Parts: sequence; C-alpha cells; structure tokens
Amino acid sequence: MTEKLFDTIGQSVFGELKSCMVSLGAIAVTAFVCSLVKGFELDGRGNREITHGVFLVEYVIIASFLCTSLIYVKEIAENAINSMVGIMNGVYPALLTSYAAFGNAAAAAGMSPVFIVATEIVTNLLKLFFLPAAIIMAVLCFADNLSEKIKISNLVSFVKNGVIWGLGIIMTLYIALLTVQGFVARSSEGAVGKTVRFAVGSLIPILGQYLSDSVNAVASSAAAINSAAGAGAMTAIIIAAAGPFFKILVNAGLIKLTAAIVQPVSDDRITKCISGTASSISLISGLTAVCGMIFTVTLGSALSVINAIATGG
Amino acid sequence: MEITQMAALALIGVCLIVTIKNHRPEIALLLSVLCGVIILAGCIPQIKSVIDGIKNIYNMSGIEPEYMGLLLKVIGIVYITEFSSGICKDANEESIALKVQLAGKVTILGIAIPLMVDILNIISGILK
Repeated sequence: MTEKLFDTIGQSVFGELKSCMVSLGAIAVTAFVCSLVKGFELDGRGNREITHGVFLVEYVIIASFLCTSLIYVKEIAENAINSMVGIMNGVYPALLTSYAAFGNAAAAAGMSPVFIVATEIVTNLLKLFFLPAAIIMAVLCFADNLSEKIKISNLVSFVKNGVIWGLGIIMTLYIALLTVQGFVARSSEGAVGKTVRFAVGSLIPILGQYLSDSVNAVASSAAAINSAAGAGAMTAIIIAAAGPFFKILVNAGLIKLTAAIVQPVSDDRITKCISGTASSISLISGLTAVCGMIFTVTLGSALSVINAIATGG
Repeated sequence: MEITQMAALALIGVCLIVTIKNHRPEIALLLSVLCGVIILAGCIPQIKSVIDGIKNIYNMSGIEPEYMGLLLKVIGIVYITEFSSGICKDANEESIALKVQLAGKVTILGIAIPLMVDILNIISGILK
C-alpha cells in the first residue's frame, strides 16, 4: 500500500512539474518582455498612459494564462471528488450488508444517514458551493489588481475567509455527527498521533489547522482496521485523494514561484494577481484534502464498528 | 550593428546636430530622424533573435502564438509612438506630439479590448 501511495504521489508531482513549468515560463517571459517598455516610464519622458496601455495588454494575457491553470485545477478537483464518491458508493453498501450479516441491523440503519451526509450533502456543497467560491476569489483578485484606484481587496478576503470558515464548520459538524452516533473510537494521544497532527497542520495550506483536528478520528479508526478488505478500501480513498491533492499543490507552488520570479521586473499589481491565483489554487487543494479526510473518517468509522461487532466488543 | 558602433553613431549625430542647429534647424531635425532610424535598423538582427527565442518558449508551452504576436505589436506601437512623439517635441511641436500619443493610446486600446472580451468569456465559462 505504501509503495502504491508513494508511486501515485511521485507521478503526480513530477508529471505536474514538467507540464506546468513551461506554461508558467510563458508568464515569466511575457512579464520580462513588457518590462522593456518600463524604461519609458522610469526616465519621465514617456507618456504614462501609453505604458499603461501596455500594462493592460500584459495583464490580460497573464490573466488568461492563469485562467487556463484554474480551469485545469478545477477539473482535477472535480474528478477527484467524483472518483472518491464512486469508491464510497461501491464499498459502503457492502459494509452495511456486513453489519446485517453480523446481526446488527440497527447499526446499519444508524450509519445510513452518516453515509448520505458524507456522499451527498458534503460533496455537493464542496462541488457546487465551495469550489466555485474559490474560483470566484481568483476572479475577484483579477478585478482587484486591474486598477490602481478601484480596489476590492476586502471582498477578496471576505470570500477567502468565508470558504475557510465554511469548510472548518463542515469538518467540525461532521466529526461531531460521527461522535454523537458513537462511531468514533477513543482518540489517540501518543507521540505518533501528535506528530501526524502537527505535520497535517503545517503542510496542508490554509485548511491544515481544521484537518489536523480530524486526524485523531482518522488515526483511531484506522487503528481498529484489521481486515484486508477494509484496508484496501481505505487505501483506495487515500490514493484517490492524495494524487490530485499533490497535483493541485504543485500547481499552486509553481504559480507562487512565478510571482516571485517576475516581481523584480513587473508591476506590483501583476505580482499580486499571480499570488492571488496561487492562494485560490491552494484553497482548491485544501478542498480535495477535506473531501478525502471526510470519506476516510466515514469509512474508518464504519470499519471500526464492524470490527467491534465481529469481535463481540 | 554592435553597441559600440551605435553609441559612436549617436554621439557623432548629436555633435553634428548641435553644430548646425542654430544655422539650419530643419537639417538638424532631419539628421536627428536619420540617426534614430539607423540605430533602430541596427537593432533589427538582435530584435529578431529575441523574438525567435520568445516564439520557441510560447510554442513549448502550447499557448496560442497570437498572444505573443499581440504583445510584440503593442510594444512596437509604444516604441514607434514614443519615437515620433520625441522627434515632434525636439522640433518644438508639442501639439503634434500629443496627437501622435493619442493615436498610440487609441491603437493600443483597440488591441486590448478584444483580449478583455476573450478573458471575460473564459471566466464566464469557468463559472458555468
């Protein structure tokens, strides 16, 4: 399982690095080419409005390159969520049947609403509300940096904070639902648990702090898995989430790097536009991680209950 | 043409212009235009190699080459506008210089507006 996971992550990261590097190089070249006219502005002889015309063309070209990246990342996130839903739809009915087979139909009935909340409500919220909100944040960032006088940076922050808070609330409510239903085992407070929580909180951008709290639920559920089928299902979900997550993260990292490279030669607004797009893409990577985490917790909880029933605990 | 040759030509041109400006200002103006044109013409091989390099990068990235063409067109318009406007100002014809600058701004806007429409279409496509 570990080998397959590392293979998926490696292919995602290096494949993505190769394909993104060249297209982001085009953004850097555009910025460098347009810096040729900056000399007119700097020596004071040139007419500022003419060089502003060049800025407008440069901005629109760079924005269209960034939109292409946004469309690509949006497709990756949607496909990742759909594939995770597909895995859950395949695995979960078999799990519920296992409850009944062990003579605990009541537990199966109790898990059904939890399953529906995860696969239907949460995924639809992510695909139809939070994902478009992250895209809208990037678009607002384009509009914010187009003009020196007209600014909507507060609106951009509002949308970003709204998405982060919304996802935090969803994670908290979902874990609470599982806990109330009695499906989450005792939390692990050992050194390994604390290390994983710290790593998740630090490495996953923007949403790491919310996801780190749910690592407890994942870890304690995973500890109770002792069947090959259960482990296989968890692996499938983790691989379905990890590959796209790292792909999107690599995209965000490269766009951030491009912003750093063009900063010395480019207008401040262009650098902020490119950085804003990188933040939006980081948010989309967090959405993918949240979806993967929710499904992992759901599956882990169901498997730990089955194990408890099977062992008479 | 090497940079040293261009610099030498510019200096010689300036010296000649300063010498004859008070006696024959119209010849001084023509000399100024001629110097500028020769120096720009001397840059053409270097400009061509830069454009070829940029084309290669855009081809490798798979991005449409028309964007690069538009960008270079706009930069060319800026240089031509500034060149013409500078000559007009040197000849103390500020009003003609302003008209040239206006023409340059309008031409650049004419190129930018279809790009803005394109990007608005892309964004509305994403949000659908």
